[in-house]
Amino acid sequence: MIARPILRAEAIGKRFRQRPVLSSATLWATPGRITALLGRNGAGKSTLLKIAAGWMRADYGVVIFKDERLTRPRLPHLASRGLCYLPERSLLCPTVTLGDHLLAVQQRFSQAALDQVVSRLRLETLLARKSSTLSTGERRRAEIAVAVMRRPDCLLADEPLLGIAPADAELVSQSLRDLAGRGTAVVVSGHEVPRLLELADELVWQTAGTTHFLGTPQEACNNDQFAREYLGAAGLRVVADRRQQPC
Amino acid sequence: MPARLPPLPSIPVPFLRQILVRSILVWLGVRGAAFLLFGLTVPALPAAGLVVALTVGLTTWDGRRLSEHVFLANLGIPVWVLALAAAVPPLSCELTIRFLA
Repeated sequence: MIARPILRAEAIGKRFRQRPVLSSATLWATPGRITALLGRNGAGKSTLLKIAAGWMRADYGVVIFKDERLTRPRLPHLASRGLCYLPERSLLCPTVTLGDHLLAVQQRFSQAALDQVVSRLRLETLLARKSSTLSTGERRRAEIAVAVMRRPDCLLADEPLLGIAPADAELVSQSLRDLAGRGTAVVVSGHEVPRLLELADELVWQTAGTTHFLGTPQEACNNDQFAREYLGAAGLRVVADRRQQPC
Repeated sequence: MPARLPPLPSIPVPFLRQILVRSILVWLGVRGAAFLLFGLTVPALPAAGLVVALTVGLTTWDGRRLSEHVFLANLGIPVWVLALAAAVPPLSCELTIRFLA
């Protein structure tokens, strides 16, 4: 049985000056499941995640988190109730060391053991370094470590696999799977189609200001419009490979 | 019994230190600019208030630029708490100047 969504951003609308970005977008996060939010550049994925996280105000729409209906959600409020938001831009303050970031999370929430998380994400040698000195892959691993330390009920991660090496992407993916395995509702956005198809339990396609629920990765692969308009030739090859695999 | 508000999380020390140091540096910059423009005078109360407000505004803006706000918001700390922390150094310095003058 699939659990009830813990987070629902419903009928979200947002325009920047005269340009409408979202007209009626909806995003659900379900405990224990990973939802991948896909869409072309500029489709408004980051905007939708920011609004759902309470980091940006929507023009209209409502966010419901743990049955609390919020027309003007705020990240600090949602975070204290169990949400964690990883922005596309860095989460970490460049002038503070990674160790201090992780300690701050541990002191506030006292959830996971610091040593285990650090060793799992291979961050032992990075703890004393300021986050401005970390590479993109190291930074992404460190940000995921913050989320794992937090053990949130709901994690919204904006492009967590962007621009990182396959080995780092594997560590990040595994950590996201572990979080979902512990019951966290995870939403990730990105363009790394093969990895996201492998990682996600369900896919949401964002296009023309709205969202389309595509179902499981297998069902999404069978959606011709999604394959044609979003995946393109390279993506279709991936889909063809998947179709050859047993379900 | 009156309902109790949940306790406001305090700013972790390394982040608080950063905010205070940045606020002092910004205050020095604002004061330096005021000195160049108006010379060495003890400012009237509204002008001192403006210096404090400008310092808090610039420090808070810089915190947002440095991703400090999004990390601390993930700890449940709202921006107004950070602005309050950023107001402590310029307020203390302005009060000290008035006291010494």
